[in-house]
Amino acid sequence: MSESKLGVYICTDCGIGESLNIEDLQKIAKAQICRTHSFLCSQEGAQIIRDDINNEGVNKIVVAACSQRVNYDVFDYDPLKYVTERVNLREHVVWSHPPNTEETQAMAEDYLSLGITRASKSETPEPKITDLNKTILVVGGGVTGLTAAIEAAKAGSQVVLVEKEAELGGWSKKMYKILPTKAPFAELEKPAIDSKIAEAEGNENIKIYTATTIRKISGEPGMYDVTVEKGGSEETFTIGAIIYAIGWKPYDASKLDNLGYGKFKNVVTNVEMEEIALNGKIARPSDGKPAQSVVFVQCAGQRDEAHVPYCSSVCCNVSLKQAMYVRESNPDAGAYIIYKDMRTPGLYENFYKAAQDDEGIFLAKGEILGIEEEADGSLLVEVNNLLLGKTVRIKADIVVLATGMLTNMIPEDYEVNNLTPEYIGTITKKETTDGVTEELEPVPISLNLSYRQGPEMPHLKYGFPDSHFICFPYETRRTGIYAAGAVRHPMDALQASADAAGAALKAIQCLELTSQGKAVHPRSGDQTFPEFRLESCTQCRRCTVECPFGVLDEDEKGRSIHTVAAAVVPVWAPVLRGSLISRITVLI
Amino acid sequence: MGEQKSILIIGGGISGITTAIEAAEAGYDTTIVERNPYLGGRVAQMFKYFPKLCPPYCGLEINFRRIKQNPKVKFYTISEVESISGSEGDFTVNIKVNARYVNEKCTACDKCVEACPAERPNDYNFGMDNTKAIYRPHDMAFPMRYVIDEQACKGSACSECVKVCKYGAIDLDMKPSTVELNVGSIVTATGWNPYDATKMENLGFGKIKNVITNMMMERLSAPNGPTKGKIKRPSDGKDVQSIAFVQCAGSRDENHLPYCSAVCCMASMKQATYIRDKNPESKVYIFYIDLRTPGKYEDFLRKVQSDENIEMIKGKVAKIEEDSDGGAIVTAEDIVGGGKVHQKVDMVVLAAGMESALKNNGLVSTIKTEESSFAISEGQAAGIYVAGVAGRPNDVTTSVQGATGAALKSIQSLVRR
Repeated sequence: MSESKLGVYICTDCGIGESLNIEDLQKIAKAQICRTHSFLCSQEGAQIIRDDINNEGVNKIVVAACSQRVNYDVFDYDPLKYVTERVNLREHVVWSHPPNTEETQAMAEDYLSLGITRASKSETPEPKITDLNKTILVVGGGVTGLTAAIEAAKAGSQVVLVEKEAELGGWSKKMYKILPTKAPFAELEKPAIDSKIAEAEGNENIKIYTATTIRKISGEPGMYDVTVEKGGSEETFTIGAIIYAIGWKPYDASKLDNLGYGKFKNVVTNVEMEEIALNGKIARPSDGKPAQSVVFVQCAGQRDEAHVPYCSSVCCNVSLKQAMYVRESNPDAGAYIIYKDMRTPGLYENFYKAAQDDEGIFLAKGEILGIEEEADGSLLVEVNNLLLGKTVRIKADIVVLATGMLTNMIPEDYEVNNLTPEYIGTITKKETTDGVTEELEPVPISLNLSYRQGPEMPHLKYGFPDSHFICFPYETRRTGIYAAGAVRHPMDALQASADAAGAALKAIQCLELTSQGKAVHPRSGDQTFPEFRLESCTQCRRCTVECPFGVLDEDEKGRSIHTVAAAVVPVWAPVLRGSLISRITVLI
Repeated sequence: MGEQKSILIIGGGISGITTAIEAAEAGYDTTIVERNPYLGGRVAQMFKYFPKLCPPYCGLEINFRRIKQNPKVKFYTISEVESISGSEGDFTVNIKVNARYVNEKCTACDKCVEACPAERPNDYNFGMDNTKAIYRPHDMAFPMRYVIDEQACKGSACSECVKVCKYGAIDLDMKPSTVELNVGSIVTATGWNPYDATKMENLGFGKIKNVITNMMMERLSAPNGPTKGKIKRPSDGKDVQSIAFVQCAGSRDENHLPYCSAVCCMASMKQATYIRDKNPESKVYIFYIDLRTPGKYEDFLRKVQSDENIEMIKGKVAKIEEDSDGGAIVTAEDIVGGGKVHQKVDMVVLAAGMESALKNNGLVSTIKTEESSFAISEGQAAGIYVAGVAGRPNDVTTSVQGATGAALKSIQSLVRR
């Protein structure tokens, strides 16, 4: 902003004039232009402000009148050119406090001073990064990552996709058939992943790295430097924002020893059942005999605090799907699904109904009491059938364990029900001058961020990296990095694809706002930015440790560092990530 | 490249608002058309969100703030889309803007309400109280502007409100107007209506006063509701000591809604905490077919189940009858425990399902739907997209995810031009 010029406008209507000493308020304002009006939101009143903007060059406007909830469209000035601050003298002061008392007057004066200070310290947006990079990095080449890449490219973005495996497609590539994705949500569909892979590979705006891992990411939105490694050689490039779609992994079924996995050959997981189906006939792994009877065990670990405390959302539908495989493979075969609660929310009720209508699919609420193997490899499953109120034994050729989904945020050897809070890692004891202290050492997983707080996204619970669950599912404590798909919540491919499009929008939006010098959600629209007086820094490190957004970093080698926000900082000082600053909420 | 076209969003609930502001912050012009005199839709009527039990208006306020500060979001309230023609990149949309009878001079001072002699049932509170014919839609309404219900208003013969309004904000002669917009893409975010509970005759809604719906329970529990947040039974104002929740009231029933409404299990458990918080002695009975608390919601189920005063019974409710003292007797088969249950309670909450607002809506000729009137996701005309419950029953967070994705899709239609 060129020259800053303040105008203060005090409305005296709605009881304000009768309840306050307006002259004293004007003295507090200490502004060159300070006007009062008996009906400021009238056309005439609003015109006074417009005249001052046009004739006097006022560009910081303080309206001391009613709540900003009222008449916001009357006092609406282009936020790219003007700073507008509303001071609520009506609802917050005169409508809720006794008139003409010292306290009420003092309150009004305080509110006015606060508003003027905030307006004075606010600035219209100016780009802070001149060579902003708008390329989007997608981490993960499964259905979520591919969809994110394609959707972002369709909206005009350049995309770099990095997949650690040699092949794209993730789990979707390993499916025989997929759940219904369209109305009436009753029939299985052929996997669409191959066409998705072809679409991504054929898009000239998408650059794909397979068999590639990320060694390091540093920087901030609009200017991340990414180092990747492929086959022993490294490459570094710059990107602007990141979509984090590293997906999920199945829960380790060998921990479910009561269900016979690993002990009996014909006990398989739902993931392995897809492999069996892809191989042709549904046949027993032990001897290749076509299956006459298959029992599906729902919640194999899920909804159990000793294993996976949450519900994996998709397993009921997946078992219904695989029961249809059994019936398709052998019309005389029976499929038995033993569940706690059948969870087929929304329009998937139609899918449930389609399975119920099949006379060869049997569904029962029950508990597995035990599984035994017979001499020929068949399995005897003992079930407490809660609907019949008695114990039944089902002879099965195959038992399928509907194991749950864990986020790939959880490294090998870490337990989903016993993760360190906030950052996944290990607690280590350290000798310090203050004695032995415990410190959390976050482990690198896939992003390898050079951030003070840790190399990966923070997690809330069970390793899922979302930070706000209801209103703002894309809110993130690593601005510029947006998680999508099963990495952040158990979900099916249809929901993951929708999620991928949402994350792509947020990545594009973050870069758009950053390029204009504007704050991003949750501070979008806020025109205040903190300034750090680094010359007064006592190196206490509280700021670098505590900032949840990782805005501040420190130079541990004690060298001066050139950054975007501060040209040269003292010997040891917090290093500001320039555009990340827009995430700090300033309370005044 | 010519001038960038804007995006039309039909519906100003949480999904529509999300699509609009997310697209606007990415740099695109958006226009919301909302039927109510306020934005916020169903979420504006909720007392708390599951599973955090936080106030839904918090998120709405943040979004309203984003809208207020962003010149790229425009909206019309008390308005309806009358017709859509054209194709992707070049749609012509006619919007009927109904008369609010209160203009932009309104300062929300409330003097008109004091003067108004006529009353109307308050639809925001599902008719559980009245407002004047001129009213503020609700305490936190955005935009904060009053409105006149033309059915209830006595018209210019009365004019009491006009006399007391010193701002000249009331115009009893205001006429509906039509606005024509040229837009590049359209997002359908029309949301849902509660299923008409009177259709389930065995459940007694409409006949037994103390049988209410889950949306009424939200209003009954909210501090800005008809009872200022005290959960009292409608028949006699007695504090509710025992309450039954009837799950799948309409949902998962071929005779009513053949699908699952996806949120009612969580909603009833949430509402069970309302009464348990307000009355530590209270008893809660939840009758269900399946407990559907997918994903991390399982933690919430565990929390509710750990309360010994909340009992969950697997069984579909067969009937509800009125007791002589005004209470209700719920009859159900206990599938797991065995035998019939006759549970007497002070009040019954029907977990009424979600019905697509596209049902019996004139837009259906343009927006393609499946047999339950939810908009299909694949197979719409190019440039037309779907967000939130307009597409299928979902909770808020899933709706917001989808709405953010719909923002991207609608942008693609503009970029392609």
